Amino acid sequence: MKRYVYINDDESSHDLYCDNRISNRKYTVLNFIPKNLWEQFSRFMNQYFLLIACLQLWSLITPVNPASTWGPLIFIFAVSATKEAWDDYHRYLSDKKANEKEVWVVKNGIKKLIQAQDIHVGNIVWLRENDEVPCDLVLIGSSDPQGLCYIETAAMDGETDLKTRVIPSACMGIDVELLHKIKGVIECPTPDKDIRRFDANMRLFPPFIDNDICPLTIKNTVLQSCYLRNTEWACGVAVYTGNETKLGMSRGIPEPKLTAMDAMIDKLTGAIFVFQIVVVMVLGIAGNVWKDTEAKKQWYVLYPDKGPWYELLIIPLRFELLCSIMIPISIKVSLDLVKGLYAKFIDWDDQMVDLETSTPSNATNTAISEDLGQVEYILTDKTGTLTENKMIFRRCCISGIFYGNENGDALKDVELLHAVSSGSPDVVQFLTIMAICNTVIPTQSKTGDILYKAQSQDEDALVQAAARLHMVFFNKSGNILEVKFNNLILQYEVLETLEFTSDRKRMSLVLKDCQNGKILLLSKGADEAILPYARTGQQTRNFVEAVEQYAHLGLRTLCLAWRELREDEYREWSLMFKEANSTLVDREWRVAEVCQRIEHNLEVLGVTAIEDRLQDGVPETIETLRKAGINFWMLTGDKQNTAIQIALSCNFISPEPKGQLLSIDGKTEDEVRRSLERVLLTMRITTSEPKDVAFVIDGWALDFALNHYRKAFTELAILSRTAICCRVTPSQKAQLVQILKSCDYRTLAIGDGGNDVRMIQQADIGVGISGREGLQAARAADYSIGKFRFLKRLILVHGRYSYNRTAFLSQYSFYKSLLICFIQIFFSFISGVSGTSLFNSVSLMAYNVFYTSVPVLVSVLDKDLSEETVIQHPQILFYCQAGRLLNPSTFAGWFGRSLFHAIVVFLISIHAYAYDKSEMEEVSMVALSGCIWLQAFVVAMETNSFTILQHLAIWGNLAGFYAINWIFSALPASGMYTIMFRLCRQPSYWISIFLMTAAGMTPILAIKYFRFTYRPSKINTLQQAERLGGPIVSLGTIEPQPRPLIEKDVSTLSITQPKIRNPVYEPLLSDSPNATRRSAGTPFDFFQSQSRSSLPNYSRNCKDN
Amino acid sequence: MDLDSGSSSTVGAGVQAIPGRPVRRGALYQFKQQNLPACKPVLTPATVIATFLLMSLIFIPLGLITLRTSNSVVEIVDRYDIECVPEEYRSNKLLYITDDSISKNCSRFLKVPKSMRAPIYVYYQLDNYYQNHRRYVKSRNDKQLLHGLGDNSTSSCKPLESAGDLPIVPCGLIAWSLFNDTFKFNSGSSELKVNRKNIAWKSDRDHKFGKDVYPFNFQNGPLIGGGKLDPNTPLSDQEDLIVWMRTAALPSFRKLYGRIEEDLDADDVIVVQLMNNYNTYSFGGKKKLVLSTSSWLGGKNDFFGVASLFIGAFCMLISIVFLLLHVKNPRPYGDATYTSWNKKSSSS
Repeated sequence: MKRYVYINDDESSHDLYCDNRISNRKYTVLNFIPKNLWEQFSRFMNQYFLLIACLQLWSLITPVNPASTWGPLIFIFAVSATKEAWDDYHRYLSDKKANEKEVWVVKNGIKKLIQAQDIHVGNIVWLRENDEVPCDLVLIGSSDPQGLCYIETAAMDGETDLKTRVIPSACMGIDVELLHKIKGVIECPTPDKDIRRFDANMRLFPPFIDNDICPLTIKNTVLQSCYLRNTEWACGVAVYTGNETKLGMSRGIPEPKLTAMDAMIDKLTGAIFVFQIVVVMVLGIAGNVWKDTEAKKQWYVLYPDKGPWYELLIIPLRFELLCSIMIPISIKVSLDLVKGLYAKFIDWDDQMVDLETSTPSNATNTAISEDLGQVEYILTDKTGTLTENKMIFRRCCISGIFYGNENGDALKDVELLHAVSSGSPDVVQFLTIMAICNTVIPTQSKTGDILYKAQSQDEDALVQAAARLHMVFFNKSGNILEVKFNNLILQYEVLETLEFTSDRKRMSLVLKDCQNGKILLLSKGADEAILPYARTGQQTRNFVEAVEQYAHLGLRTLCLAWRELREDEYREWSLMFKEANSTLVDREWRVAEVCQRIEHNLEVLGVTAIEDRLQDGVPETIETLRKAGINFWMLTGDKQNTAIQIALSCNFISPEPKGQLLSIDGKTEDEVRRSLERVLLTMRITTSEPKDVAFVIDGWALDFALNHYRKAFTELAILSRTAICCRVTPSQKAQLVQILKSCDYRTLAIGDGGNDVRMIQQADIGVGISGREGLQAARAADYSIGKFRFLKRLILVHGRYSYNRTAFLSQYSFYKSLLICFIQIFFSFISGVSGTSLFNSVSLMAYNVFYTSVPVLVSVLDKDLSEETVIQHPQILFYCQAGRLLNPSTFAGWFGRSLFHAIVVFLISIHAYAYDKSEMEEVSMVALSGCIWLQAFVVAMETNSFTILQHLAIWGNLAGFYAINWIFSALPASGMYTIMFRLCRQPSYWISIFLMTAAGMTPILAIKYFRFTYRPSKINTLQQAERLGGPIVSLGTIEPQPRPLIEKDVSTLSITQPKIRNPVYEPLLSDSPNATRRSAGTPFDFFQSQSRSSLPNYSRNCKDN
Repeated sequence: MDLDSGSSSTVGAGVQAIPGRPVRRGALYQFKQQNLPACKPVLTPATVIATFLLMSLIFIPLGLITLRTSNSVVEIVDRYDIECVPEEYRSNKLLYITDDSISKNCSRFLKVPKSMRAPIYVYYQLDNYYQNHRRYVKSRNDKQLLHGLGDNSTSSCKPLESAGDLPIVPCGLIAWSLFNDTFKFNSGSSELKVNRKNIAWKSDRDHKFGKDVYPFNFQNGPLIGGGKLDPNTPLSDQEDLIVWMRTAALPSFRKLYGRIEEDLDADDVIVVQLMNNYNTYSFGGKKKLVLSTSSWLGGKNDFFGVASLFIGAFCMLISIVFLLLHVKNPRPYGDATYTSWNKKSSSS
């Protein structure tokens, strides 16, 4: 499908394509209520509550006032609807602002100021400096005589450097006045979201130029949301408008992520629902039987002999309503609230602020903090994530001579400086390539310093280094590059730019040396993209050695090469290049092929080595997280050797005796298969050994592995705690995440660049590093942090605490709902199974909304272990990973507790308030008070650290309970007039409460103490150790140096209590999540047996590193 | 829950302190950094054993006191529903109770076991009577009781909301089934005065039942339930009704009938003249007459004492078990190093 855009033609395309109105809104004023309600009711929980609320309107069956359900329900709905409406209103406002922005558009040959939303396809839009681009334009004019203009694309891809755009050759040199009247047609593809491609053609109508078709690329466009910079004005034809722009097409509402915990809570809710149905059926049948046998004899109840047809349903429905509080209506609100607070704690954390740039950490996604504590796999990018992405030119090898090997800095190497000053031709040529073979734009600041705007950090490093070596690239005006070398100004005219693509892995310039008119081809690129094309006869062994040597040091290498072109050779090639550039289909591939034709026979000059320093604290972070049972995979676009070196230097893999690196490689499908099988076999053998086995695979082999041997590779992925994947593409990164996710692992992807975005979005948790490659990754991510080392704190501190807190909060919510529901059920047995509610409506509503939800909310401040202890003993994270704190068995514990407490409260209330005291409302308040007291003590018992807020909430809530009830007791109209006053005067009331609390809490305290002391979990052990080792930990406040201190702490701990390590460490390793998963890993059993039988003889260990 | 606040500490402030970080120590800042000073109680053997011991030391005396208090209450319980049916109707009690022509008079002789001090409360007790049945408990209209005939809908009183065109006052099953046995007491030859005033809650008389609401059409319908009311007395003075309408939560309950404001001596014989009107025979309910003195805990109820003693004993047992465990078995894993651990924890 193609789209034909007629330039400056107001009529023809108006109806065909949409106008430039941007709309990100989800709702309109009219459809807000129905659409929002529909969305909310698509959740099971909400449907359930609505059904309950509707049933309550039937007064025959409702045990309580319908307001007790409708109130909270409406409140919950109003809260989330308001939130949605608020968000949508802001979207509307920002849309409106963008839509009503005034822009200059040519209408009937005259420039007019119109609103951006009225731009139509085909209009000519004029932009001034620093204007935002309102829609996707094809440039046709610019103030620059060469037709260049500069744009900033930060809003689109997060890259902060300026990019150049150029007007198509056909429009070159058209007068400003004529631009108002220009007519023509642009043939372009239908809108898509690829912001790196635009394969179109333009043809101008007479009288403009000849009838030539002029090819257009992305270089000729300026896209919506970019800014025009350093250019006085530019004008272009609108080709895509409104929501059909490339930005608009790539916009999408990301799928909401559901945490493992939410899934578990949903599951438990489902179980409770089933339990509720069973209870309702049993009680319903019992109630009907009692009614038919007993109640008919109870003359004072006056049952009619023959009821309506639905008579049999009435009692079960009553019990359904009575039991509906089993599923706490408040849990969603509570969870949303505390999740918001977890996210805020991350935002506020002072220890996760990047001091260099003073960027705080940010939790964009507020709903998934618990998942951080359950991470099992971390997939990390290398460049910019593990490393600083601050490139520094360190070494080079020119014509076989190594520079910078002695002192590690070639710029200070006397020999190189000497060679430069003496003008050695190879060296000078090498420097020239370093300085100009790139897409860097030099700009002169007001003070006269030269600043470089580079798209890649490597190029920047090379140009800077060349400048330090007196080859200063100081001006680029149009096609003319000017270089100053030792006060000599050299000029070059760029004829063609053969751009860098990740497939070609090299870039070249064809330029004319203005000094002598020679045409030169300068190339730089990866070794495997340059060295094979060396001039026949040139010895490249030196360079291969250099590349290997540098790669071993973890340096990034680039090979530089050049050759001189003959005039005719260039001209012939230039035609082909033009033609390739104007193809519409497969342009990229065609261009690459044409480039190949000229990039050969190269004179290789040398190799540059650029250091990319590791970020602070990366090895420690990896080691700590690895101890926490998290597996690391490194996915990088870099070379295998560099990747391995970086991996070694940051503790990613262990060196030879301790660790073992298996390599999967091969050029053909078959080789890859055999290699994969070999590695798999070795892995299976070595899983029992305490050895760090890792595998390394490159993008090529990975392609086969993913497409043809997915099963085998998946098994490998499960067996292997560490992997290095090099030379992988963004989509392969995402596929790897997908594989791990499909094995039910919680994955965290961390990266910093645009190439990591897909992986970040795919993973359960995406973490972006707001680093040098722009904010693209950080923007797509759920969390953005400034430095890799903050990951430790993010996972171990924030993730773990969030998990623990939510685990408590959710189970407690069920506990308190079940508690009151069990009491209602027990009461029904002494009230003729008729479905009478012991508690009145006000109490029931307030119980869920006030009395029990406040104390538990402050559990967000609870810390079971101090942050230092967790960081020192990261193994403790296993409890979160394995879901030890929220699972059916812990839930069963809470269930049992609520049953036990319900029995205690019920028995004590009915026995203490028997006979003359058995007044309904008094008994009801005694039971309710018992519940409130018990739950206060339960919260207190489960709280590990009490801050002032916790005391306030727990005991203040208790006081609040009495205050509220006294107020109600003072109102004659309320159902409980004077009740609470009467009760509080009775000694028997207080004795009952005392009995209930003691009877309810002593067994729990006893069990807790017994477990804590004689069957301690690792958390308990650490709590005990923390308590004993208090002085050691608090030493930290005195010492200023952070890191040595931690090590010291560990050592002191291990000296004084040498065996603490044992109970803490060993069991954790033996029941690591992998071990349990493996034993239960049924999906692969089939495959294992199959593969074993098919490959019986493989025992050869394949490792080549 | 023992709050052993030994390790109260401001956690984590300095260990990873980044040099140059601005030093702010406001409470809000500490909250944001999750660094509020916290006390971390730990369950050490000493505190836990002490807690349980303390609990038992509280509950055992409490149990003894409450048991003694309950025993000091003198209570006479007399079930009369069977004895008061004449021999010939024993096989068909229902006929006896529903037939108005049969005299319901009955005499009971009660022996006072111990001397009883005034006031002596007279209760009637009903067993197996479900005042808490959902159909029953909802069948009332509080507004009508207070304001009388108004525009109040009496639909909540179903199935007894109206007689003819007018709503019944007071409407509903509870009022309709009003208990109507009456008791007269004689001690020797003299009549024992039973004070039947102030048996209902004052708050009910003042604020729940209207002073100008008269039961003008009560029990006039075809269905006669329990007692009748004097149409010329306002509801606020119908104390039997008010007491009856405080529904009981349990199927066995006692309701106050009146007070005897004389002391009774041991071995006195009280003659009760009663009208056995109320029908509990159709559903096998029991009727009892209860005379009881009172204590600060209310009537006779051994539950407090028994429960307290039980909990106290339980706590004592637990503390002994834990003490033995702690002394005998300080190293649960048989791990030598645990000794040092536990010594430390117990000493702290």
